[in-house]
Amino acid sequence: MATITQPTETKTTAEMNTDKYLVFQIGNETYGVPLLQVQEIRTYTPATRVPNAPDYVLGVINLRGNIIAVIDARTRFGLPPLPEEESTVVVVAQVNDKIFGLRLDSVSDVMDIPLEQVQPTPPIASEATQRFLSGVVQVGERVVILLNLREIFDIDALGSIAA
Amino acid sequence: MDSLMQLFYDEANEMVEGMEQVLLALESGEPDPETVNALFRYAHSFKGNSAAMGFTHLSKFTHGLESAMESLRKEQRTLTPELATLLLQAVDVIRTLLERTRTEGDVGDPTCEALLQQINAVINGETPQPITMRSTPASAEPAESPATHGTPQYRIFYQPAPTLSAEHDPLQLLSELREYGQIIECRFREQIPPLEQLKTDACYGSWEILYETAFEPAIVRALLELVVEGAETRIEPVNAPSAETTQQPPTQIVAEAPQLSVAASASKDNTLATAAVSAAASRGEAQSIRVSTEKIDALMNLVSEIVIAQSMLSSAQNADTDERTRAAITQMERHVRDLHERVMAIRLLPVSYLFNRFPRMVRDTAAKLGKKVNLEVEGEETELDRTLLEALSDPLTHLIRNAIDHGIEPPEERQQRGKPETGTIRLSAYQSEGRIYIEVRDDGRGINTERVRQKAIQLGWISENDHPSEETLYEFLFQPGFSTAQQVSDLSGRGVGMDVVKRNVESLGGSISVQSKPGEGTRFLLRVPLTLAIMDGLGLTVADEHYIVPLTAVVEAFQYESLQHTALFDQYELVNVRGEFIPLVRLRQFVGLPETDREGLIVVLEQEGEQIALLIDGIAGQQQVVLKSLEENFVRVPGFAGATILGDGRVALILDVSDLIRRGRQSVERYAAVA
Repeated sequence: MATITQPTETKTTAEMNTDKYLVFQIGNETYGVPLLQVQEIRTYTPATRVPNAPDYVLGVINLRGNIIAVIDARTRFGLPPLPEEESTVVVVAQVNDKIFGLRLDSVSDVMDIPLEQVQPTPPIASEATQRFLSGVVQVGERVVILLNLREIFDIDALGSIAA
Repeated sequence: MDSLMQLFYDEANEMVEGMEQVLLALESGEPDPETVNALFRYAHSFKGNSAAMGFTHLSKFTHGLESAMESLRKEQRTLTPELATLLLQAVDVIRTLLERTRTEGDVGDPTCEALLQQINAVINGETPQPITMRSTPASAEPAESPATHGTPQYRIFYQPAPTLSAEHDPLQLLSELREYGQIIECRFREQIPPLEQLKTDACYGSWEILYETAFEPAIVRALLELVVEGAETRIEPVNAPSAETTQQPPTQIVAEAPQLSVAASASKDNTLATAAVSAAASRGEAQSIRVSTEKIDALMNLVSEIVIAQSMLSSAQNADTDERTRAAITQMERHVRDLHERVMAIRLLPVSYLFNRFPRMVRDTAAKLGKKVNLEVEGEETELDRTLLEALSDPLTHLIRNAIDHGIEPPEERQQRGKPETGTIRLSAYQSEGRIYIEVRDDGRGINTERVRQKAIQLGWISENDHPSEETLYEFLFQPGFSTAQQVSDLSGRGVGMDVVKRNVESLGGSISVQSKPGEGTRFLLRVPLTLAIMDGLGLTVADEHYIVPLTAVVEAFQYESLQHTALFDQYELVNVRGEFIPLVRLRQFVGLPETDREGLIVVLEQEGEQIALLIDGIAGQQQVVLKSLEENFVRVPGFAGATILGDGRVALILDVSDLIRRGRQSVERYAAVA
């Protein structure tokens, strides 16, 4: 269930194991991804469309000579995409040796997430999006939903792009 | 030579460890005659291997050990702990010698002889073998093996053909010989011409082997016939004085003393540097240095980035650009292209690098299946990108295995059909139109298209009444889950494989096709790009999208309106190009864009004699593109061979021409099926 077992350099805040998470808003919710999986954050540059790819794959971009796919977080969660703005960013992350980009409306923060307090995801979301989540945690006033990047960039499902 | 050397060391280390383990196991358990046998085998193989590599001291020492084991075995003595300790010491000596040969070449160690004498003394019963450990190699006479007195001995002279090729594997001869008798001594000789006359791909070495076997001389002669044409071999019974060998004394025994060869080849030019180079060249490392592939890859990546930057610079030119800048850009363009080509060339290796591993595989596989197969290799000097070569290894292995397993008939069946008992598999490589072709052809039973059809019906792919074309039936072979082998063997025939072969080849930007004649054989043809990294491309546009097609595939371009266009059924369109009807593929449709009324262009693309007319909006010009993998960080996208980065940093997808052609052909077949 709560599988945020990133081997991390843990800091003790109030004698608790914490991991650093990159936190951002999608719609009204606050989400977080393990900072260790994040390689860089860059401004969004238009991607080259990949024919026959699922709609959440915006396309491919050039990351210093490597071709990486960019996934739109909103479309992936079944939300209508927002037009590109100045705050639009691509979070470049690595999952299973593959690098990909996740387009977000904006990023807000890096937070220390107390690992002990992470709860299993309540069945708030639809089953389809449920698998993208790895847990929820209350940090002060905010409820942060932790994301499972591996499921979001599901390479096996992408492997069957139809001709 | 280097890889051979590496193989030797790898094997040697394994053997040393094996000997040690056997000896250690002995101390904790019951002595067992099998242990002695195991040790004997280790010593025996070690002796042969080191002799083949020209390490005389090592081979002599292990020969001594082997003889000791032999008498131990004959005497039916048990291995005492005392003896085990001595043997462990011997293992240590071997290890030390191995280490030293790495850096110092063929060296001996004074402890060898003493240790051997001690071992023999302990084994006792028989007089210790006169193990000769002479310090002056020139006088080193073959140590006659007294353990096997009455067995006839032969002196075998083996001179490989002047030009070394894949079929010439001196080790093969040696290992064959070893199976039928004992190699008592193996001397490596070389006659190296002065540097200016030295050919880097020529073989200046020869072997003289003192061989002992109970088999008839005819058998020994037959063994030697394994050595491919062009090689010179001679056998002489050892007791008869050999006139020929004395007439042609070897110039030097380089394995014994590398300095000798240096001295000889430096006779014309006495500088040490030349001599060193010549000595290196004689070992087949023609004035080269070893560079790690990572370094080359890093260099390649950097050059690729420079090509992109260069193309950005070129496209930044406009009417205001002054003449000097323009000239500089043009000049730089040329240099960058040149640089790129040269860096590319570093990565090219002859396909013999890949082909060399197959003769052995064919021999073993054929033996396992009780078939007789001869492998012919052609064009092994064809050069190919290193990464491609490695990636081709698995598909080729599979195709060759398949050919032996399914293609070549058992000898009896071949005889009945009036074919030679021994089947032939021909592996050839050649370059044409900027692509590399690799062919695997066998003279076996061919593909039974009716059985393929039946199988496809069985799998529910087609219905009883369908009679697809031969090509379509062959296509089935590459589908996952298809296998017609009546008997599932452990080598092939599990229905996995051909689809993997196809996928592998396609992921390299290549394609595979098959032709077959029942009873006559099958031919698989693999086409791969010369290199994975760079190609000339033509930019095509549809709407605001930009695609690249390999320039090698482009035949010509027309205004769409100027062509006669025939539509037959919804899906199927033809255009008339000078009286020839070519299937039409609309790029907009191909990439999932809405059709337009705008006038378009037709680009005629061709691959392997098949043509297709591609309807596009416009042409964006010709450019050199660096091929990038879509799969590395994403997935393979059907219809596309990869991607590239345009001058402005954007990504453009590269169209897979064979896929477009298949698309066109499918619609033709659909039409034919209806008509």
